[in-house]
Amino acid sequence: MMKLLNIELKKLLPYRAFKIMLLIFVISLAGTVIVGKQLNKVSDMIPGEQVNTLGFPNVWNFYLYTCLFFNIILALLVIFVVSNEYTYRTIRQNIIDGMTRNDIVTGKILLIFLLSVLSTLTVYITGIIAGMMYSSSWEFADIFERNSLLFGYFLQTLCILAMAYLFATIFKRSGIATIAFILFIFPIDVLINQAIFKGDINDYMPVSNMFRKIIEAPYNALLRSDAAVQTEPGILSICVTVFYILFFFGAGWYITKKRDL
Amino acid sequence: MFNILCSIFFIPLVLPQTYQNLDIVLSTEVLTKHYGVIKAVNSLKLNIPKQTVFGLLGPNGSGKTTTLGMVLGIIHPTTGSFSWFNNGSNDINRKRIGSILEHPIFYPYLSGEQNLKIAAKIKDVNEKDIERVLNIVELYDRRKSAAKTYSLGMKQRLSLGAALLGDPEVLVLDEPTNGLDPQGIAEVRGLINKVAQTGKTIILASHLLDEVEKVCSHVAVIKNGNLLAEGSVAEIIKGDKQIEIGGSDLQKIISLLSTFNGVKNIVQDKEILLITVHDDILPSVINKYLLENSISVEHITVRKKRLEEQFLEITA
Repeated sequence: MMKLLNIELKKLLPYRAFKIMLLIFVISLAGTVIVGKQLNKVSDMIPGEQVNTLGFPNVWNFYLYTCLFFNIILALLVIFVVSNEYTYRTIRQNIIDGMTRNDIVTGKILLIFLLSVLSTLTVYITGIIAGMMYSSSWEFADIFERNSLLFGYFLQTLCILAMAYLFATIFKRSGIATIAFILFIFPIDVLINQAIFKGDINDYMPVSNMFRKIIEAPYNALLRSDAAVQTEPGILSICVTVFYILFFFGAGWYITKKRDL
Repeated sequence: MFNILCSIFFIPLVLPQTYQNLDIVLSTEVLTKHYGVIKAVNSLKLNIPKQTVFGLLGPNGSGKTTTLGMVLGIIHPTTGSFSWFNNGSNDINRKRIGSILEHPIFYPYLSGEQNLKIAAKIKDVNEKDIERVLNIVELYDRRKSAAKTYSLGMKQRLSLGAALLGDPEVLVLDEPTNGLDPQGIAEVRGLINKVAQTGKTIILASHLLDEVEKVCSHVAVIKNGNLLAEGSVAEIIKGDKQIEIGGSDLQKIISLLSTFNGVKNIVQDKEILLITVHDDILPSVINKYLLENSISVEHITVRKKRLEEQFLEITA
């Protein structure tokens, strides 16, 4: 296991796109924290109870919900890394040199796992910083309130990266895979749900679940006093996410296993 | 108990055939790959003996790379099986094989050294071996440059270096001199001979007959996925041979030899007669026969048959 991860890191760390993407991701997070002041001002303009969006504990609802979208950057990175193996044909050489197809898939799953853990940790740390900056007064225990939402964030990250992995494995070329991925994230998922199923399967579609359910859009609940604030990810949503993680990795594994390289 | 019974009745425990198999590095059994209606490889049966330089010969698109792709685990055979080191098609076998398949393959943004580190890690080879192979393929000075800055010849050499990592028992080289200049070709050839002398088995796929004839001890000729001939180079070249005769009265020689037993064909090429004869007929026999008929020839020699002619004959 460690050997496979080690090989993946040897391929990845000197890769320039990796450094750039990581930089963009971190800048996006920092930017969100810095412009957080503006978010507070927006909430001031809406009539009703005043809400401190980036103070404890609301920071987890607002900040994590915003960061979900930055994971698309990491997903693009995964698409590049996986499709590179096909365009450079290095997947062939890796197997010729003695890796099994299972090793190939396991290596990428481990890498995606590592990226998800790192993303969650970074978001946690920057979230705590944001909370400290924007809470007028806070105690140590406040940091840990609504932390189960972070678990939801971790699962969402894993799920979207697994989806990117599957798309890259299917299409093999980073350009086509990226376009297909973006199309699926924005219109296709919604279209399938709305046009075919009349919105009935909203909770069960991968993208809808990832971006709306596991961490709910916080604006309505927090800005209008009549709705309940989400304090933890729903069980159904967790199950759906785990199902899709397994499905995306499983399908990617099956394709890699069956394909002539 | 079984052992004792065997020794009592003098039944050899190791059957002769299995004993023979120990000397086989790679064997394939009805190995077949179909792409739709196209039969890329058709029921290929190969046995590659240990410590040979085995040439896989065939025109472009004959199924050489597909065959190697199957035995190296990147292409699933439609039917059939293969076995390395008598150990089946286990993935672990490939760590004992150094291979180059078609073009050199690298992570272009990594340096030559970083690429070799990945290969070494996969093969469970100590990183200390990298310096040795870099020196063999003379890329030590350029080891820190990104692989994409290498010339084609350097990339070929780097992949050869990767194949040599860990001193594998078997080298599989698919068109290893592709894109190299004459000097590079000579170097690779020298390297193959040097490695072969250390008792390694080398499987060399090529359409360059000259190359195969110079370095290989055994060949298999395939065309359209079918095995046409297999054996040692000497065996393959064996067959009819040609004798050149030059003299003053060619017409008389033709009329005399056309009835000679063992002569198959006579062609006149300007001042020279090309006589195709059975393999066991020596020029001295012909010379003697002509002398007995009071004809003395000015020139008589055996034209050595080249693998190229034989190849064209086999694949025609």
